[in-house]
Amino acid sequence: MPVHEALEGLVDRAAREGASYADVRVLYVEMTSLELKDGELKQAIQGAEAGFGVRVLVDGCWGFASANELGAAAGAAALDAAMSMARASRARSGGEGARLAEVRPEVAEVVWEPKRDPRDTPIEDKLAMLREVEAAARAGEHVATVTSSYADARKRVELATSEGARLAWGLTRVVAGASIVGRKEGRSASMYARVGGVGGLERLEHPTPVEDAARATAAVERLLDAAAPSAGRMPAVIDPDLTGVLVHEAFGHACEADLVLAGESMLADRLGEPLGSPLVGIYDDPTLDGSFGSFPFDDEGVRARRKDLMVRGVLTSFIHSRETAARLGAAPNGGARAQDHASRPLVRMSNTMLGGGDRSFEELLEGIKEGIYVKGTRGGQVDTAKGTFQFGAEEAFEVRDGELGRPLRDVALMGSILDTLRNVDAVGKDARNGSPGYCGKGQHVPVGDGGPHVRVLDAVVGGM
Amino acid sequence: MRAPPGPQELLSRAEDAVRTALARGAAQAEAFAAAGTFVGVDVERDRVTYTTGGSESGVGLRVVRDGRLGFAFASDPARIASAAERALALSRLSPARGFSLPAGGGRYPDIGGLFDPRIAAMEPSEAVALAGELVDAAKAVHAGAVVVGGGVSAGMGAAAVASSEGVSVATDGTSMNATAYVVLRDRTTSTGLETQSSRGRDVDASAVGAAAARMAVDAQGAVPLEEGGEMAVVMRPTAIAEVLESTVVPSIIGDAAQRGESAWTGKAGERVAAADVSIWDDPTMAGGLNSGRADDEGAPTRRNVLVDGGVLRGFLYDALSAHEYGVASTGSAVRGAGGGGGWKAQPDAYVTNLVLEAPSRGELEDLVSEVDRGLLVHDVLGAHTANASTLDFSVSSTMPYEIRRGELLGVREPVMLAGNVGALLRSVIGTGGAPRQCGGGMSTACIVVPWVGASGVVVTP
Repeated sequence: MPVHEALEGLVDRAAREGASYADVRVLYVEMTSLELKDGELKQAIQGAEAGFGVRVLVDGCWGFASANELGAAAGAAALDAAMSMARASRARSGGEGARLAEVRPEVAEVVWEPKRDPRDTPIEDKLAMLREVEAAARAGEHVATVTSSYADARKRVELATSEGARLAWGLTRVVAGASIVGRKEGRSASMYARVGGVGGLERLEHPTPVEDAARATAAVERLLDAAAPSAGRMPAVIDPDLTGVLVHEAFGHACEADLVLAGESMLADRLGEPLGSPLVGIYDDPTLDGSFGSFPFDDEGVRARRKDLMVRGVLTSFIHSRETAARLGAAPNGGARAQDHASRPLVRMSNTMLGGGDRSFEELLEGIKEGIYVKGTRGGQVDTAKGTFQFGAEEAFEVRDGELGRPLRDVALMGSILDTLRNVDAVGKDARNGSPGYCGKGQHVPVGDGGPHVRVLDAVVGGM
Repeated sequence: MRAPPGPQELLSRAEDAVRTALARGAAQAEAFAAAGTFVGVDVERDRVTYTTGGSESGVGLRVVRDGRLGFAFASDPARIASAAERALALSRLSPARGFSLPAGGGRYPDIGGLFDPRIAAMEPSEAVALAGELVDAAKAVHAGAVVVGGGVSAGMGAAAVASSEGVSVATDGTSMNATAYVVLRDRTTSTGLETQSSRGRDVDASAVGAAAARMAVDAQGAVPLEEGGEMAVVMRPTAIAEVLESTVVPSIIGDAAQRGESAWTGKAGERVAAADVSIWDDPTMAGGLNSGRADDEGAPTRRNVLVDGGVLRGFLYDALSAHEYGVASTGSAVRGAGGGGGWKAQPDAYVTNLVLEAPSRGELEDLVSEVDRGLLVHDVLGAHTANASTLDFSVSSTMPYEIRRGELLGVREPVMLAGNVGALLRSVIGTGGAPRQCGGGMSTACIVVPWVGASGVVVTP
């Protein structure tokens, strides 16, 4: 049996006590994390933890309770709590209760074993790698401080549902990188390096964290001498990192069906409409090999699958939990994820990508008389209800007569996401994953995003 | 709520863990044991959609051997021995810093208002009823107001620190929060957000719902701001708190200051704010969201003055950063400031309740009357993108109100606000209304501020 024996039976007890649905999700995590600040070890943690959450649906109302100890007593107490919570909710649950779209209950165990298991590499070697990252980051003449970090986590999830599903799945994630700050004549500039993915240390090979730190340090040196941008509307070439963040933040969130139902998405009621350039395809795919946001099952036990959100510019699908799928009459597509055992599943993205086209990078620059090349992001904000965004680029360059020109600093890209997707007039063939990241929506989950270089006519560029 | 292990039980867990680590070869050992339990009610589109709860507990263990520090944690008390072995093994990787775990002793302050038995006794049904009152109150303000998100949560917790160096202290507390995010689709679409946190059962869920709805009603019919440029802003406590959290908070951490990452590096003794502005961190504040008599490594807490009469007086240190830079700990150790269970993290210096004080002009209206041309700002988006090493910020505000010659005109469409918090602190016009504790949610820090007015913000319509 793949599910913890003292907890598995809770789902049947819940059904006997009146729950129309119940699941128990058990999570085991083993992790290592290291942080080096200016050459000195600041943090070394190795730990293991386990916990579970039990979720019940009673008369259309949800109750959820969790604990970080495993065993029959903790399980019984949590189930009692979840049942009383669901019953308490009934007083204010309004008319329509929650329903779940049907899925075929599976009995399966899927463990994605890493090729190079981090547990087989001594922690001393991981620390030595960070020292190399630090040295590479320090190669820049004006680098003032470097904080480098490494983390791996091996996770196993077990899920039993009152419908008969008995699932277990496992995966390992690694990530390594550095935060680099440079200073020169009173100016400062910073960059992040970060590589990683689902898998083992093989995810730190292309590029290696050392190579990525060298790239980031070179960018810090450029930024220290970079010029301020001129604001206005102009053609922009957007790199795979920023393309990924744009499709995740400005488009992907608006495809989350819980936001659609809450009236917080500008994409509500627009399925089937041509909203972007015919060159644009956007998908969310948790099955991408090695990508940071990949998983074999979502946290409701629905088998992971690719979701085509936009096909040739037409909005084709949202991302669903079983509940949002039932409400919107869609098929469940495995989009419910929980941060940890103590969190209930929410509708979330996995790896959100803009599909590749047929142009080379040089072809994208060709024909731009005056424009901008923007790379990476320093964060920003989106309004999914209005569909507007503003992102600070990590780096930018002038484009003049089809050639890259001077480096620019503090560049912001802003506007309406649908205008931006409509204005895509060329798509590169160099699609790749962007940096691994975490998405916060009350809960934090690992995500990937990316795409190719993309050219956008009439982008709105500002200073920060 | 199911009671979590209490302070005395956690103290004995911590003492056991210390003994286990010493028996396995640690020269010094310290254990931080914590436990908590909570209930939360989620509201979406006026309905209670989920009621959740949980209990968590664990132990974080620090050991010193050969002058080297090691750390490990365990959530299962049965695995303390293996955590101790892991901490000892990891200590070999650490530099020999000559660090000693902090010694016990000192007087712990008495702080009132941190534990409310009414929260400890709260059942899920009571929390659901409060969430219902929140929704009803919003509807009573305007039938079209929809509470799209928010809810009520309440929790209780306890923590204990014991060490081989004589530390032995335990604390407990309660807290609760109500939040309402309201959308009103009437003549136009407008939003309102209100939140209230307290250590006691005195959170008024109805008032939260009503205030969010009223904000949305008032924000109907926004028109564009005709002219931007440099002007004054009067910021709501929660808005100025968000900006301060991303700028001043990282700047007053001792390690950042010593490493040259802080905007205030090397500026101790210099003027960094107007002469009538003071900032301090006060974990001893009665009823403070982050108050407690001991910090997370067991040191007695105290009020730390950071900016006094506009002059920078100091930074915050835990024992390790204090040792590293040859200063004294300010009793500011916080575990898990980045989020997550405290026992899983080593202590770092961080703010608890950060108080900003400037001359009060009276109520909010009195403060507004001091402004010739400016904006009243309820919300800011994107404060986390501020640059902590320069204090530059660029945020947007979705429902600013225009101020002309001391009068509030109507609500305006969203604007961008750009400025520098250093310049803002030097141009504070004053404050209005009573200070309010802003914290909770994703934020670890609590910022205590009234409405704050300052000039010199660049506004772009």
